[in-house]
Amino acid sequence: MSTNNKTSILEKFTHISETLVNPSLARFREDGGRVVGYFCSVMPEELLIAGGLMPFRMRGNMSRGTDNADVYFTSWNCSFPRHCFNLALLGEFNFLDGLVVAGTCDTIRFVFDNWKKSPVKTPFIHLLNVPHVSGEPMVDYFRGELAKLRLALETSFGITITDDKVWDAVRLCNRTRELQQAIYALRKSDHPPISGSEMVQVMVAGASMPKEEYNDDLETLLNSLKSSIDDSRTYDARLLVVGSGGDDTIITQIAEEMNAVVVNDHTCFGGKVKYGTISETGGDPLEAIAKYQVLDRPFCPKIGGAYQLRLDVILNLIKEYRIDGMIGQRMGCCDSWSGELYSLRTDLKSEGIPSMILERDYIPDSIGQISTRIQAFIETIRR
Amino acid sequence: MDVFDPYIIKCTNKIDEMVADGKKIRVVMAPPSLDEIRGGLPIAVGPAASQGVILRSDTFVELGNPEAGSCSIFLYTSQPSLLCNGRITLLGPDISDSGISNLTFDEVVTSGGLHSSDQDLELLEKASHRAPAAKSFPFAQIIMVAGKNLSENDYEILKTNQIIGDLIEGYMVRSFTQNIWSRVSREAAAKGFTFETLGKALMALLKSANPKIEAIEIAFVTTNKHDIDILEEYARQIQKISKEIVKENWKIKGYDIECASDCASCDDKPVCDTIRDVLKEKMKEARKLKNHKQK
Amino acid sequence: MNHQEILNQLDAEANDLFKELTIYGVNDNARKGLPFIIASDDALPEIPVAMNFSLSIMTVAGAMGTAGPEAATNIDRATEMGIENRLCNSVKMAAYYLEAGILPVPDMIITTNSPCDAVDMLGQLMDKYKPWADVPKFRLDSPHGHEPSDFAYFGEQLRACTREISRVTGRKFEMDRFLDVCNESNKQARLIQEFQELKRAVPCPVDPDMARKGWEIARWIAATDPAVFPKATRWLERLIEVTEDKVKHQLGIEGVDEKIRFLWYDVSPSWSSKLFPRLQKELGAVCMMNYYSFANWTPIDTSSEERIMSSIAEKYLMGTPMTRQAMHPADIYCEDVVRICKEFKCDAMVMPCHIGHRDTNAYHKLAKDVCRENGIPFLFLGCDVWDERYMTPEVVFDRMKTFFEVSGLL
Repeated sequence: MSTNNKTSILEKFTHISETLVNPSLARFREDGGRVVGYFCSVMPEELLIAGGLMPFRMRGNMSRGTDNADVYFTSWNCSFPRHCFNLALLGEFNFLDGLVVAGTCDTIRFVFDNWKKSPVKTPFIHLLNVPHVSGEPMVDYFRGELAKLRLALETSFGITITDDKVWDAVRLCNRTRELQQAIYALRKSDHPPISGSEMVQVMVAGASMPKEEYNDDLETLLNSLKSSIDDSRTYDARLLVVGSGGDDTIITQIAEEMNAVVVNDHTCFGGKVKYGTISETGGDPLEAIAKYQVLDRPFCPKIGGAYQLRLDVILNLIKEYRIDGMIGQRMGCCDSWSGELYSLRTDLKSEGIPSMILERDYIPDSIGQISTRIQAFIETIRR
Repeated sequence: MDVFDPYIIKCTNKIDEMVADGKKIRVVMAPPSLDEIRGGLPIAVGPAASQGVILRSDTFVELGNPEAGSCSIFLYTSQPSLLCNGRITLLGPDISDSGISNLTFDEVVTSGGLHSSDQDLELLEKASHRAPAAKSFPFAQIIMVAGKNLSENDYEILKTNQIIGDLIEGYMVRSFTQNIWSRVSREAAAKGFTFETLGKALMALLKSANPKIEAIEIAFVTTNKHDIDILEEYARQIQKISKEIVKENWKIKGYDIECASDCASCDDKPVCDTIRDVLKEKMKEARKLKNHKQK
Repeated sequence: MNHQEILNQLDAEANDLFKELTIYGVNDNARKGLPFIIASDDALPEIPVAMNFSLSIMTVAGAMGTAGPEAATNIDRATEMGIENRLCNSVKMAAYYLEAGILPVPDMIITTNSPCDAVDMLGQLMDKYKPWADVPKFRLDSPHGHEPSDFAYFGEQLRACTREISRVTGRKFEMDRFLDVCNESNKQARLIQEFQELKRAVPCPVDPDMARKGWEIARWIAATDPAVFPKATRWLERLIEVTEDKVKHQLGIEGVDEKIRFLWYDVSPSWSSKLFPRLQKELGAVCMMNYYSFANWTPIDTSSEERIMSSIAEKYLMGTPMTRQAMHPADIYCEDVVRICKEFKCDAMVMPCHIGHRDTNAYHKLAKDVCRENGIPFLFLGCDVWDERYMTPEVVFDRMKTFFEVSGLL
């Protein structure tokens, strides 16, 4: 029964993570629900959920090209937003009733400008300004920006987002984080009951379907995982993946085909998202959310003044999960991650932890080179 | 097209309030036809009417330098009945009221124009060989246009038409994107350039650039910085509406992606490949024609 | 002296001031006896001048490193460092200087996320640089918004920054002195604006690049050497005097038969001496404006302490080249292009789209569309403004010549 549950839920999550309009989302819309897409995890899903909207994290992992987007961008822009925008120009995001673009990096910020000036028919588009320093004054600033977003959502969608509703949403999303953390924690064992690829699919699904349904599925999955440890399997290397993206299984699949196992990740779609919880001590929920994003979870490399925290978190993960090596991945032309991984590699080296940095396209033309490099890295660790 | 209508009403109400407060007012009605408007002007209006630059030493008066305060509002509607066509209203002193001053350029910069204190002027005693320049009025310009067929699509064209460049003799709008800051030349002032002239010139330019415009009303406010600041707040609110219009206009333009960025897949590649040869032939022909004419 | 002699003298004085900088943008003479601070990007000279310390700017260091006879070697060395290969080369160069240990240890570091991801990344490398672990650091958060609340937010940070500078350097922040400096800065801004407007005359009276030099003296050089600050005012005044005289006599740039006026709306390339003079001489094509010769500064409001800092913030966020164009919506770039082309009677727009500029690469289509709607011929280049090997000045010249021909301007 447990195995059946695990299999069926993982299959469901796989399907969701590899499509855009999945059955859960479709049902939500059929029931009159509205879906709002968003870029970047600093955009709090809680605000959307509090307004009765379904958050959908933007991704383009089923994209096949950027021909149309490349009329707006060039190949000197990161491929992730280009693929997402390309899908939008092809009509694949027509199911969205709104889009919130968090002003994280340069290219993503200008997705907002291009989107609003393109024929893509998204009724509501909002640019959420985010701070790029982790500090107390920035909490207040970000709180102000969240208040602007709330007002814009209320005006545009004709809804009321009360503080109580936001607190309800905070509790819902905190539950999601706790469940995700619990599943991640199972991977500390010598025989993780869930692979790195499967975990990616779990996380991506969480950003693509209604939260209540997702939490129910997660609980079921967690329970079945707890009782489905396969202790016959051993691995040559336990790996951590750090970097941008994380909504596809390219790295994890390649590594796990070579008898390594990705036991944790700290990626934009993965481990970074589930970190900690928002404090539920009451008061102003927007301030609580702002504090969480700015002070507790400043994991985007665009956030200054927080590298040491990011490094400490990674070193902690390496220790807790008994990591043998780190694969750092970044998209080409990503200036922010290039600096971050450059520094991480140096710091891990001084701790004696092997690492490799992989620069790739979001949708790579060929896997061969990536495969070879990962294989070589695993070999190094094996020795 | 009625998104700006509430602001048209707000602005006209504000002007009425200022009048009620005892502010000096002068109202002029411009003639209805373009020819009559142009014919009555003491200065030229149109392409290359001026050099486009007025030197400090040639400046009679400045309007709206940042210390004095400035504000520019442009509104339009599809209801001509909301406006009094041809009305030019001036609240506050006119250009001809300013007089030539002995303030030097940097004195204008630091003293805040007409409202500088005697103390400020005393502080700036040092004579300089720099050319004497002019005072600056606080300046708000409110242009309201109407036409039955005006729509959101016309917003950007109307906005671009407000860039004066060299279109008004003796008048230069300075390169300052924050607001409107302009100069009137001594020569133009000597010819009788007033706000009535400016208003009519703007009307002539807008009407000739946009046949859809049926009515224009313009107001200038040169009273004090406080009044300008109030209007500036309206301008900020109006700007938010304008941004939404711009966004919608882009969407209406449609999907006109000419080709992918790769030359090999572009339909126009044969044109690009032969364009140099085409050009050479054209230039040969042009040179032949020129030589023929010179003979 | 005739006009050209005066202009040559001004040019020589500007060049002499730059020669005071080492290749990595530090004025070793000026900083003797002064506290020394390194900032990641264009910081505001008003603060170092008022508090009398020497401020070096990493992006200037990087840009200088991509110029000169050793440019190619320097860039290759920087690339071997192993950061993003396609990073802006000036930032890459600055990062190389940092990691190679070439820079003197500063008394303090000020970093910010503006104007772009690359400089943000550079700032974070500076923060993490181990040999500077004990150097006090201050990080500014430049907001992307341009509302009064954003300016107030940044202004508060500037205020806090001056307090930290005082604590670290022992230099007092005196409001009276700061007011004087801000007033002088306003004067300089007006002078640069005045020069800018004189360029509207046809023919253009003086090489527009002189505005860039004036700007660099007043902002960059003065930040490294506060004694230069008042000299910048006088330099600008002399520039305007000679330019006004040329306008009065309807004189153009010496030796140039002006036929085409174009806008190069990006950074002026480090190889510009191999392109723009040739365009002027051979084609009569005059570059009317680039980011650094475009003056659009709100004056610093000295009416109150509160207003002074938020107006300085506005000046920085909305007026600093690159910050203006990269940190804010594409509408600002597009509106600038239309306005500049109309006011300065530009016949064409050339969009260099420097390969390191993620921003212009992301909105080039919007700029092209706006130009098309306004009847402005538009050329997209995609060059590297710091590394001429990527697209040589000869290739750029050729493309621009063809573009002018096709557009009927030649």
